[in-house]
Amino acid sequence: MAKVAKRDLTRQQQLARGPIDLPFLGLTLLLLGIGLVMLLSASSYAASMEKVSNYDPTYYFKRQAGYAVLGIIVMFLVSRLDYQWLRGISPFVLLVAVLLLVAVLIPGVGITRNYATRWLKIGVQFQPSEVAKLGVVLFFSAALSKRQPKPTKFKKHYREPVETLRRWYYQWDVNDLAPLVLVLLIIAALMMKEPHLSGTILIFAAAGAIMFAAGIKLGWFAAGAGIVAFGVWFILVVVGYNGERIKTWQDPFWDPGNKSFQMVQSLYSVASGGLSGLGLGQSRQKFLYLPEEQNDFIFAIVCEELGFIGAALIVILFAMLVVRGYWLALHARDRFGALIIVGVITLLAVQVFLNIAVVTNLIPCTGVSLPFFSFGGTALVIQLAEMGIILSVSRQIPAPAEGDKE
Amino acid sequence: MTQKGRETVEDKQKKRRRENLANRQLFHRTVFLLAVCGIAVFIPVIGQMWNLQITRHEELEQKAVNQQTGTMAVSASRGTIYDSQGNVLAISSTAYDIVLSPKAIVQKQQELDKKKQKAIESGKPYDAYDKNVQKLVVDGMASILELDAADLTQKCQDTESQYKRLAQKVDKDVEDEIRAYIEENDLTGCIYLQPNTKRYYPYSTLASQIVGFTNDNGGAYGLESTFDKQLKGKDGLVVTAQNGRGLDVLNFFQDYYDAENGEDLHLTLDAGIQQMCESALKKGIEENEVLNGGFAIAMNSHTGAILGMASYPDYDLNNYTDVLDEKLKGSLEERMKAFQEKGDDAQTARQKAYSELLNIQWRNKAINDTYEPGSTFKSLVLAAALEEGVTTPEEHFNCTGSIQVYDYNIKCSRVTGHGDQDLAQAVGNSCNPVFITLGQRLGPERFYRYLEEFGIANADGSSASTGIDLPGEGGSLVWNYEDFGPVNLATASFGQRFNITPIQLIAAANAVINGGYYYQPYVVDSVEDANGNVTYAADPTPLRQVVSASTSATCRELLEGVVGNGLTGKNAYRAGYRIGGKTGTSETLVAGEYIVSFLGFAPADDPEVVVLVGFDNPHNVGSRAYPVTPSGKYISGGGMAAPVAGDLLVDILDYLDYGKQYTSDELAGADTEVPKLIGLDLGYAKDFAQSKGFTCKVVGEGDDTSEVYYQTAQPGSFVPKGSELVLYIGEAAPPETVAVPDLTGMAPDQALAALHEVGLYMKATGSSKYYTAETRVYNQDIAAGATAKPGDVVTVSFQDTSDRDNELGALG
Repeated sequence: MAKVAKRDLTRQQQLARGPIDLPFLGLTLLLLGIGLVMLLSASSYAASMEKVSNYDPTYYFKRQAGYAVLGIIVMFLVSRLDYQWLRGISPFVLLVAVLLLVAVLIPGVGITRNYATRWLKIGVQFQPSEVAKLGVVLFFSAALSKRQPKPTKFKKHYREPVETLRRWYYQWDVNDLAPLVLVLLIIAALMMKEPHLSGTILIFAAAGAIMFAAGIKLGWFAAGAGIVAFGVWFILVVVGYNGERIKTWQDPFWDPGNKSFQMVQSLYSVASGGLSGLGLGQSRQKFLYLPEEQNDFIFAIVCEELGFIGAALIVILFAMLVVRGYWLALHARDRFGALIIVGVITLLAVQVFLNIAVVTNLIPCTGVSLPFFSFGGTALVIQLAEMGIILSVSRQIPAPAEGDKE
Repeated sequence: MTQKGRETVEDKQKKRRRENLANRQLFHRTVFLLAVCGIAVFIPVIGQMWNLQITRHEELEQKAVNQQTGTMAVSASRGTIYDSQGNVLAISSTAYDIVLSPKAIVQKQQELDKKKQKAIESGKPYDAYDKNVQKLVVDGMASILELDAADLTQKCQDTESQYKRLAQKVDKDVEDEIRAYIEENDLTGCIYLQPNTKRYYPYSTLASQIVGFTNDNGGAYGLESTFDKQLKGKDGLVVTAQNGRGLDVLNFFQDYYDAENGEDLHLTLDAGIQQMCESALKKGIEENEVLNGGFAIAMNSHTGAILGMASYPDYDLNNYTDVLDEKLKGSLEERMKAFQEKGDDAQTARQKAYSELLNIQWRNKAINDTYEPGSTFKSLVLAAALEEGVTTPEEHFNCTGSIQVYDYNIKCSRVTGHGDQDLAQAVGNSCNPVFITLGQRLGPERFYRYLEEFGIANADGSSASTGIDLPGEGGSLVWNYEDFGPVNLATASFGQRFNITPIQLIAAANAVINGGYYYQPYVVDSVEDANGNVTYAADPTPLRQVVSASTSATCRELLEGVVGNGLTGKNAYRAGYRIGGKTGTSETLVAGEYIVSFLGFAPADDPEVVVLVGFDNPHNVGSRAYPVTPSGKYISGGGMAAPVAGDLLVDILDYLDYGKQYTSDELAGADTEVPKLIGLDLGYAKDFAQSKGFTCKVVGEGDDTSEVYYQTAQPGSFVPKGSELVLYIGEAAPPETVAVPDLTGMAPDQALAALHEVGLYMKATGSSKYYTAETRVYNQDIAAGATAKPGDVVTVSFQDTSDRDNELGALG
């Protein structure tokens, strides 16, 4: 392709060639690097003891590192794309995600682990829910970015119910919400069938954040929060469902040898770290005590080896990444870019929060992996691709003009 | 932002206002999300981390460490017990416990069954897998360990268990056999060997009551018990990191708390002397038909260190629950019956009787039991009387056979009376009336003070003991001072009607003869830790001086006379050794049963060793007045204990390399005429020479029928009794002449040996009474280098080269 002179590009194309946001990229790569090191440390012993990993201590690390390289490449490629292009493909991404979620539920197609059917294998093994997250974020962002500003004034036809309904319909954003909520419910229904509570929560969180930022009436969120609170209360208190997880949350030592074993081990790991940690590579809990030490519970090993100082620093790095993400959203060139960032970053923030909160028994246990840390190739690639999208949005942020105060 | 299309200004403004509103809304809500998702949510997370990592750090880490670490106790090696020569009396080494794992048996069986199934399916031979693991285990262990098969099968039923101990501390051969069996039948894990430590006593029975033994709780008896704290050391700990499956994580983290090995005991006991004490005691018990065993103590006179301490019946330290003595074992039935009569069933009675036997053989009679010392005690009374000047060696006494003490008429051992005797004779005769007289002269106050000084009584009337470093020491049973009236004083004067331990008597008597110093007896010389640092050392300084050196010297002389002058102690006399002593015979609590004893010491001029030998109840088939054993031996200390003590002292002095000390009588006076042996058959000649008190050396080839054709010394000449005669037979030619060696400056022993070497005999003359290590040859009647015929007698003159101004000289 012949090089096109800059003056011949559209303004949009010019913007797409802007610089990517280096702080965000730096934070991403820093966390990814730390994550890889911690994965090596956390997984090496178990890997050396298991047949699955061929007794190779670097088994998990090597695979993850491979995916990380692939993920970085994908991130850069995505960051160079003009994200406006995503508007067009977002319905297809969502459609593919839904199809995959359906496929996973077909007996014999989905792969079941730990009583949950969440995996598909098409060349590589992955969770369709990861695709669904991306699909929902893109679709919702695209849909809500086009939201027409409401007519500010309606004629008052109090005696005409139809007119009243119409007014409500617009005033309460039902026109925007109805299709999206339908999409959300379908996906949630499919995911809860796996079952995948944590994934569902994450998708709700991302979708909710996008809707929230897009300006959907706050009443809906109040209502949603009320419903969720009632539902939680109803399930926990009235039905008494999910007893073991709740029991473990309330008293991690109620059955340390069996039912609450994992949480007890996690607490041991976290607490063993103390202020400054046992030192990198010096975890003792990784010696086949803590289950899922390279997965959902990797942060416990981080706490054990790096101590409160190290672990808090990592939390702060995540927080900085999140803040920087929202900062980019605030400065995004258009609503679509802003909403994508809000979706992706909220997803990330909630995932980090849930993971650490579970590991430290702040909330009842649910299976959430820690971005950039937990073992999982496709998830990492998708995660980095999402970061790529944010970077792509960051490229189009107009440089603040001289004397431009806003 | 650029807007496309054409719109009215008003429309534009409206739209822009609305869009501004929407964008402001987006901005504000994103800022809100930023605050919530970027900051707020992480605050509780970090708070919870603080809570766990800082606040609950120690509590939870402790629990974590508990699960992460495996601890293994490293047992400290128990200290070794050495005798004074460095011989090992007790040592620890590894022995194995045999443990059964029913769980592993089940697993093994399942594994084999699976393999067998597979083999059958694939049509391969399956013989190797076709076995009954439990049966193999049960059969093997039942035969090797001699256990009950049914019982083993029962143990195997507890399939959850991994630990059923079958045997403890097995011997090496059993261990090897079991290892081989496990190997052969592939029973690894089903049966395993667990290291344990076993105490070995290389000398088995030697000093058994002193050394003592250990059981599962550590030292149980003897020194093993008294010095348990020092011997056992401190167990160590190895803390290793363990993974979730309970396996050690290698090269990760290990902590050692070193085991502190136990400290070693170095005893004053000498295995050689101990052996002598034990065999002398045992021999005496057999010869004298003693029923209840006895004791023999040998003590270093200068320090109070116990050189040997025997008590019989004894036992094998390696099998301390076996009753060793046949006589004791034989009494089991009788003792059982006694318990059964008290209403115990047969089994209980047997157990009780058996433990009674064990307690008897574990007892150290020399310190645990008390007895009436009898006449041996008179040595103390003698010392007190001389020290207080209530008598002198020159004083004469008249014994009428009894003495009246208030209402009591106390008889002498010789009821017809000893008549006129000086003090030396009175001591030698062990004359009761004389000693009662001495006691009366001392009076109760002084007498009791000496009881205290000699460690026999305490001022407050409590039981006195020596405080020897052995467990279970008994103490004296003596009157309070208030009760110490004239009659008690009288009986005390000849050692009756009160009880003390043998160790008390020997410690007190030692003060009488060693210059007057009372030493506390002890058996542990020093304790050394594993690094060779001495953590305890016995202090061999005397506790007090009871009598003066000169009194002590007089006592030695008088007591030597008891042995040397043909009196009550004469059976302890051994030519070449200056032995002093005192006999003792006393009744036990049972009428007609006696304890006979002998207190001896040597060399009498400067005692090195003091011994006390006692026999408890020689079988009395006679009367109370005239006790005799079934073989007709009169029961008395002089007749029974004295010869044993004499032999024991000789053995000990020889062992300690003390030069013999002959009196001039011994060396020169006992010349014997040499019989004519020429022409006799060798066998007959030897017997004949021996019957005359000679020993023989045969030169030449031949047998007992060969004729003796020449002899030295010449028939009819006079040579010292016990000399060696040389008999020539066959072709051997006697030397024509021999050169007389130069004897000048030689000690008596050396001179005698030098002359014997060339076939000459010695006749000694000299001015001093005793020939000691300081005695030297100053003249010989056949000059050195001159020739003499073999068998000639050389008269040798000796002189004492020691300082004349010594204690002995002053008394001389």
